[in-house]
Amino acid sequence: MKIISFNDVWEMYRLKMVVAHKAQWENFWALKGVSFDIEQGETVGLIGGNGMGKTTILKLIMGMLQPDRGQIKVNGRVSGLLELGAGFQPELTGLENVHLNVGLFGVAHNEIDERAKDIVSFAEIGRFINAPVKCYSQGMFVRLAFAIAIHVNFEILLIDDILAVGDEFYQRRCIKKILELKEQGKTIIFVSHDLALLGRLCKRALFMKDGRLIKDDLIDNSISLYSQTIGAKEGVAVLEKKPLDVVFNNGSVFFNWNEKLLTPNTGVTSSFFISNQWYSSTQAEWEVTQVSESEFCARGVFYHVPLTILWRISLCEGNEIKFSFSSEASRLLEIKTGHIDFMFINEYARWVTAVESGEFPVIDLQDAHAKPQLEHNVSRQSIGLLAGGHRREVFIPSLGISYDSCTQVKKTQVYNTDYMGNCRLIRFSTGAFFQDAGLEPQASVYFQGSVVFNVPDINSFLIQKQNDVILTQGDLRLMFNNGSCLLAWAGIYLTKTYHLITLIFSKGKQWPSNNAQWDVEKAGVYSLTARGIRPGLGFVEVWRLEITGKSSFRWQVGLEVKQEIPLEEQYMCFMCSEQYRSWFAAHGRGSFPDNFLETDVDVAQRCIGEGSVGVYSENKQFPTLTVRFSKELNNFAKIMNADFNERARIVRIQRVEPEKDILHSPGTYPCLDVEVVLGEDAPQGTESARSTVQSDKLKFVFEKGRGELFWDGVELTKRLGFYTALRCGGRWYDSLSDALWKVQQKDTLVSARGKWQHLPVSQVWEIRLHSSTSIEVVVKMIVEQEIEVDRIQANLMLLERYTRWTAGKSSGEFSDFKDTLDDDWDSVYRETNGLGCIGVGAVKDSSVYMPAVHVSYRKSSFTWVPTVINSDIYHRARVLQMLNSKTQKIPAGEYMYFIGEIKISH
Amino acid sequence: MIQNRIKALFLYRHTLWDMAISQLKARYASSFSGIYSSLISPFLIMSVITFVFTCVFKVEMRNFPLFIFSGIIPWMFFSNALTESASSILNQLNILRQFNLPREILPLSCVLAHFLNFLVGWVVLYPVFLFFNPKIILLLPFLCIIILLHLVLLLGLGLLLSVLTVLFRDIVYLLSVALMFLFWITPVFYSTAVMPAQFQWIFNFNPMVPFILAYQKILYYGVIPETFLILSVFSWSVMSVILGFIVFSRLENKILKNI
Repeated sequence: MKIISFNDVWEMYRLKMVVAHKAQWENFWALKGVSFDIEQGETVGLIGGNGMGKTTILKLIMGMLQPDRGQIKVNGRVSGLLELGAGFQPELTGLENVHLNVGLFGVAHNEIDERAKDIVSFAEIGRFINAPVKCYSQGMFVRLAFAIAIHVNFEILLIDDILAVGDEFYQRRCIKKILELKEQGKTIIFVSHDLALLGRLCKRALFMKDGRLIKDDLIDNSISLYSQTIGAKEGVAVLEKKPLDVVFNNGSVFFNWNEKLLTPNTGVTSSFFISNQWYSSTQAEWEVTQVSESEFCARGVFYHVPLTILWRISLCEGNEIKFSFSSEASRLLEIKTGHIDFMFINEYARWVTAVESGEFPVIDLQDAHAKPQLEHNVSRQSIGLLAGGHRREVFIPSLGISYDSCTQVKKTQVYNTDYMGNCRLIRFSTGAFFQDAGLEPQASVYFQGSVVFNVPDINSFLIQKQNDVILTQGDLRLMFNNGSCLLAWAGIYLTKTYHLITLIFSKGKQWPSNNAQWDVEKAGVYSLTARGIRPGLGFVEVWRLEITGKSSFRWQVGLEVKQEIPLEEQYMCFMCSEQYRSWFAAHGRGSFPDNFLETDVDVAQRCIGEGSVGVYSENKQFPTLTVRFSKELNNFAKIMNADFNERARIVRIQRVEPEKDILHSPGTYPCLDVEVVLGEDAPQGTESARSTVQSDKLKFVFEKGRGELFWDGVELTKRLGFYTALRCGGRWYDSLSDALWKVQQKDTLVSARGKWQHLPVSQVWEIRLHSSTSIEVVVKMIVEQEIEVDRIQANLMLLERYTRWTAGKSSGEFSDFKDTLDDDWDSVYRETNGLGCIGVGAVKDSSVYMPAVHVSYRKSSFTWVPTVINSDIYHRARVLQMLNSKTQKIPAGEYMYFIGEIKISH
Repeated sequence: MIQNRIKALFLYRHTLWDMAISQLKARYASSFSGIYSSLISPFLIMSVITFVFTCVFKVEMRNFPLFIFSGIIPWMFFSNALTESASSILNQLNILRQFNLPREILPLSCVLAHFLNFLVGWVVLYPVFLFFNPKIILLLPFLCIIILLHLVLLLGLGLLLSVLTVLFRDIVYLLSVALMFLFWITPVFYSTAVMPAQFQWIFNFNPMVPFILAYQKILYYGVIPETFLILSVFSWSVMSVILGFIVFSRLENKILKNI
């Protein structure tokens, strides 16, 4: 049923114009031939600038005005809020005014009391309902007025942009009430400048401009037209080349294809993060200069920051729009990061790059709490969007966005926005850069790129735009692009996100290679040399990539140092697909954890010296990736699980951590060198090299320089377990992370030989079962050349559930862990009486029994001070330690390092 | 059309009443003397006039204050109701912007509020007249008729002036001058006989003259007003109310565009 019908309605006002003291009467047409119908139960938004005829329409509906021409039919009672608190008598109390106003709305006399109750409870004025309304705050005033308007009899409710006054809580309640009224089948006509609110409440919107109904369409389409046309005239430009047109409006760019808007909300914008605040291009004051029919220049000046941005946009043949965004500043500005955001309508269902592709999830409009969601980090230069496959009335062209390699962009991200935005977002982020003022302000380009619509073949477009240098042989393909190299096998991408990159730690900062500026030179079909300069570091990193066979390549990284530079760490990173579920290394193999944590996690012991490490997958499409690294260059390997953002498996080849920064003097240095082989079978072997001695209840397990102690199936040790450690030159070298071990087992004897990687030291551990409750540990040390140590230790790290310690006759309780992450743990007790035995008391609680553990020593080449230690909050463990803290030179030779016994008493 | 208007007004009769009451409440909410102020000002005017005319001009008239009262109370109703109802729409434009109600309510409620005030005045003073001349109790029906016609007259004039004021704002100022002039040519503190014969015609153009005369006849002199007087009172009221409604409905749309 048509509840409201406007048929060619014209409305005229007579205005008195005073020009030079002469009054003239002028006819002003507020409405010019407006026709529309509103069905019962519709919620319709009315948008348009000020003085465009919105309120006149409301007045006509309300019957306060009669049309000068045309017909209006309104089939229902009308209520509304056009003038705030109009019927309020300031001297009267709130309640008296409620009675009065309800009457003014035409409610029958006998119903007033009942209505008044509902109104008072909805308005939440509290006891002030009995105070004169002249004392009311603006918010109370609005609440009361709104409460009255919605509690009278009506079929049609008119709301004229007044909800903005109340606080957020009340607004939400009003919105809820409006939705409730909608449910009840009331017709609601809503004028607001809050477009997001309109978007939520209305399905349809009428867009008024200069007294004419410009657009009567779905809310999204009307709003988008409105947001394209509103604003200062100086800041608007339009380029048109059918079927495409580009509208620039005060810091936003909109694209229309056959008048269908493709960029909703704010369209294309850019924003900068400067001194802890975001500055969006929509906040700037814009001035447009039309260069030609197909090109314009826009200059935006920010108020609160001495920054000016210059946009040059041109519309070229082949539905291509070229952008050049640059910035200039009148003083030195540090721009911490910048975004260039492209919003696209949610009809776009898929995104593609030269490498990856994905589907956008459907945005759940019911889920008001959903946040904008990052779909993917694509570090690619070009990205394409494709509309959904299902049939649609309007043609949505495919599109591709790309930027030039010389611009500041560091990251490309694909987002799905929340339900308010309800659109797709392609975000290009710039890294930090300084906007230098200099003597003459110079504009520097921060984004240069283009958008092409209706691309016939999106894939070839993306590859063509992508500035990759490609090496390929057989199934193997390497794509180098600006400091990151993608690895593909038979059309499948084995790496993800950052692919193959290098990282350098220097001056306390991390410098990834994809932030450097690269020059690539292709030497032949199978190899390339790339030289990258990280701005701020005085060297050139040189990559050499060479395909050495059908399924192998070599990757060498070197440095060309121009000035002396401290380097803390340098490594190469293979970010492999999460399809790789297992790893292998010289010392064993294992599986990656199933879930990704907040940070990168080491999954395997570092692999030092000779070797190859790798990852493999059950999925046959992902060939085993073996990385052989150089022994000459002192490289070692780490295998890690990336964090939950990246969701990747990481193989890291690292230079040996030096004791201090490596100070590179000018020259050329080879640093990292690996050979990568695909498809080689992973070496077969046991899960890991574990050796065990055990009696019926006691068990001691040796694994890679670390002993674990079990009693009755329960592990008493934690983390580092039983280990030895030496400190040389202020740096700790411990048996589990710095030595490589070979193990032999004979019945009840485990003997292991470990070679320290960075010290001329080896240890031989002999572990045997002494009795059914004790284990003897003998550690011999072979020193190849004289070393100076300042501390040596043998430790047993036990569970924190042990709360009592004993040492001869002394005993005590452990305190809570100190809130420090210091190298020096908290020593609780130091046994200096030469008794040589320390331990922890048994723990008996409801769940588990843990027997007392004692460690004692016999005379050896070194003197030991038994020490009871409470570790830090990181380890949260009780430690029984044999310590020798004398600084001493140990000449080459063989020593009896430690002879001791670990005893269980129960 | 007039029929529809009256129907709509009838539907809103409670609102009309509420608005009148709320105006009264608002008027007295911040005043010190409350409803009694409607007695104080006629009393003061009566005292001044009595002093001037008995002590200065030596008018000799029995119970001169009663004479003054019988005229001044209706006059003040006339003058106050007219002044306020003239600007009633202008002062409450925001109500018209918000509510779609019979627009007549605004001047009508204003006149009604003053009428209630006026009645309160009579309730207090009528016993005084009775005290001096008990037989006037027999004339009470006549008094009621005159009072009602007086109300009708002001409703009409209120409608007329309220709508004109929106279009010509100077009416507010002109009205105050006009009322002062009318006061002097209304026989409130003199009898018509005092006026020289060649100026007697002036009384014919003053709608208040027959009303004041009728009030004086009934209350002061204690006689039934002449038929002619009653007829002219009746015709003035009917004319004003018809004119008021016609002008109001003609100009209503115009004023709505002006707000």
